[in-house]
Amino acid sequence: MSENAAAFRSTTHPSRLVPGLPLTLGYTLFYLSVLVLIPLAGMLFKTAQLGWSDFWQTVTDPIVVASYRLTFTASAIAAAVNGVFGLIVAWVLVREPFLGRRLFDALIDFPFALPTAVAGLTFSSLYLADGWIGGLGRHVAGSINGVARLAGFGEVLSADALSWLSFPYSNTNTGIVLVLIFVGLPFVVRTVQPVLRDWDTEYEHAALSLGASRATILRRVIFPAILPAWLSGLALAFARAIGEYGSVIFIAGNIPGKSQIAPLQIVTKLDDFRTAEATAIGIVLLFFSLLMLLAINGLEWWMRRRERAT
Amino acid sequence: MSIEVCSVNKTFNQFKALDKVSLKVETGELVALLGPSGSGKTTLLRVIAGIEAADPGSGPILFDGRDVSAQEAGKRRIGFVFQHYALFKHMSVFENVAFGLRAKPWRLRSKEAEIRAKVGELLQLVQLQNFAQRYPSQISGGQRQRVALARALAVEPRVLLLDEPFGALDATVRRELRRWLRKLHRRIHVTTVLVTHDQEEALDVSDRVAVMNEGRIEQFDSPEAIYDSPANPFVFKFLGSYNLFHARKTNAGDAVAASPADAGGVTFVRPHDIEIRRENSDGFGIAARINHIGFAGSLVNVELARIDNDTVVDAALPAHAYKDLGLKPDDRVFIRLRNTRSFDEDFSI
Repeated sequence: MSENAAAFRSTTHPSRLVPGLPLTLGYTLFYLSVLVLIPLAGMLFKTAQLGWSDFWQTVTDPIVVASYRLTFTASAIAAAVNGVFGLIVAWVLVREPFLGRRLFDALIDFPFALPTAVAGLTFSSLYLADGWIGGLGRHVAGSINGVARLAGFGEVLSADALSWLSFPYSNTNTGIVLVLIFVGLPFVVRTVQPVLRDWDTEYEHAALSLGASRATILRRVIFPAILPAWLSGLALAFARAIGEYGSVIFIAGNIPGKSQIAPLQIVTKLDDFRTAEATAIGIVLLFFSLLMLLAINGLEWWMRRRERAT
Repeated sequence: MSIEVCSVNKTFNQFKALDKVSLKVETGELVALLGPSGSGKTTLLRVIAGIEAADPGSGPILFDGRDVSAQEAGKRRIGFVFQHYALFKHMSVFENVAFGLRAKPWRLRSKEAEIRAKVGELLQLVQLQNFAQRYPSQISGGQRQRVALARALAVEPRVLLLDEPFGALDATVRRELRRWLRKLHRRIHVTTVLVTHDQEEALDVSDRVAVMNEGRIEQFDSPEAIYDSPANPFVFKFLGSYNLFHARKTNAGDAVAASPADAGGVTFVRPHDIEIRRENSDGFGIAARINHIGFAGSLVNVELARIDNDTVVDAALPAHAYKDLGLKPDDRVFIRLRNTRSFDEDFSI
């Protein structure tokens, strides 16, 4: 009797919390269609007008291929950097009480709120060769020379003597990575933070009482718990970086084949009224992004399985 | 190994959780820390474990005479079972138990085969050998409890510390596990301290009980002594239901009957030490009326009211005695007090 009841229960729908399921379901599908599916289909449709050989020619054009490469490497590096430092930032914001923690916590959302073009302009004025920080070597050399002149020594340093101080910034592709790190910053922090906040420190005490070192506790107890959130933060930061346009064009050199990102290629094609070619590049970007997201999800799945198998 | 705690203080934001607590647990003993919530028992356990640091200026904590208060929890070689077990969710039962063995620095770490053998042995001990590949979410509360215990035992602790080990389990499982723990302790004989708020559990399972209240140890003695000769009203009250008479016992407990409330001092009597009689043959009985009769299995709880001042008195008598007397509500009877305990002043709980 009770077995029957259990069998009956398991066949019914587990949660009917929201009333009027057909309505809500219909709304959800409609919403997704209007916002995602129809535009995507339109993109495919537009690309289909090209024909296979034209499509292939467009997407394998060396300049376009170089732009993919730049976009994906820069995005991957930016996501990786955010993965490491976002984790540290999330940890510090949750676990270490310090003065002004709330302020810093609020600042994390800054890249969400700031128009990306403003971020790009700010970064370029700071970090490019003639910016405050990008030109640091020259500024410092100039100041030293100024002091030396006042003291009567004349010029002691050549203008380029301290160029190692400005080394990474004067390279414009480094600048691209820099702004991508900026726009991707909130993702890892904001996905990992709630997990860390709900984390029961008793697990750490348990591991500690069993003689585990701090490194072991981090690696075997804490990290596995935040891994899923961390990976999805990573994926989001990466996806965001691939689509980023507004900030990058201000800091990148935008030299075709060298420092032009894929979204800029699309805009260039659009400016020439070659819409189909633009959507073709879009399709390729989409395809690679999907592949990357699948790979990250696969990795997450594999890690969990491995954790269980041992 | 013996544990000695010497005058330890612990404050949390001005709240005194431990107030100059001293305690000595002998080698191989099973000691229960018993007290209401907030009495400091868990804090004391965590200070012994090294999970919580005692306040500066506290006395030392000695394991076999050696001061360990500066050592980290991981270095003290203790086995700690947490109130909610704190099993690692992403690890199987096997990996949870093996955690302490794998966490050792690699020079001291056993070979994989040895680890497997050891974990198998421990799972056998806690009767979970068939659950090695399950995850904590896939086993019952009682089983989780036993995994936590096996995990703590894996590091061959010199001291086993259990925080409310049966707190989250239902009554039947509790009793079963309690018996099982007693048996286990007899077998491995490791010095054990357990925290509980359940007086029955404490009295049943331990060699000695430390009753705690407001950060102090009120009494530390054998279960029998704690129950039969409580040191103060708090201990008496905490160990079970009781009747309170605002009067001082003068002789044979019977003066309570006559003396009014102003006699100074208080007298406590357990419900099962209240005898109900039909006759007042020697004139020492207290006249009372039966208010209510409640059945509780082998015992019958009888609520009475004194005729002279209407105070409610709770009595518990064996079912057969109840039948012999043929009691009914509103009957007028006489009560006599056995094993009374008198104290000078009233302490509030």
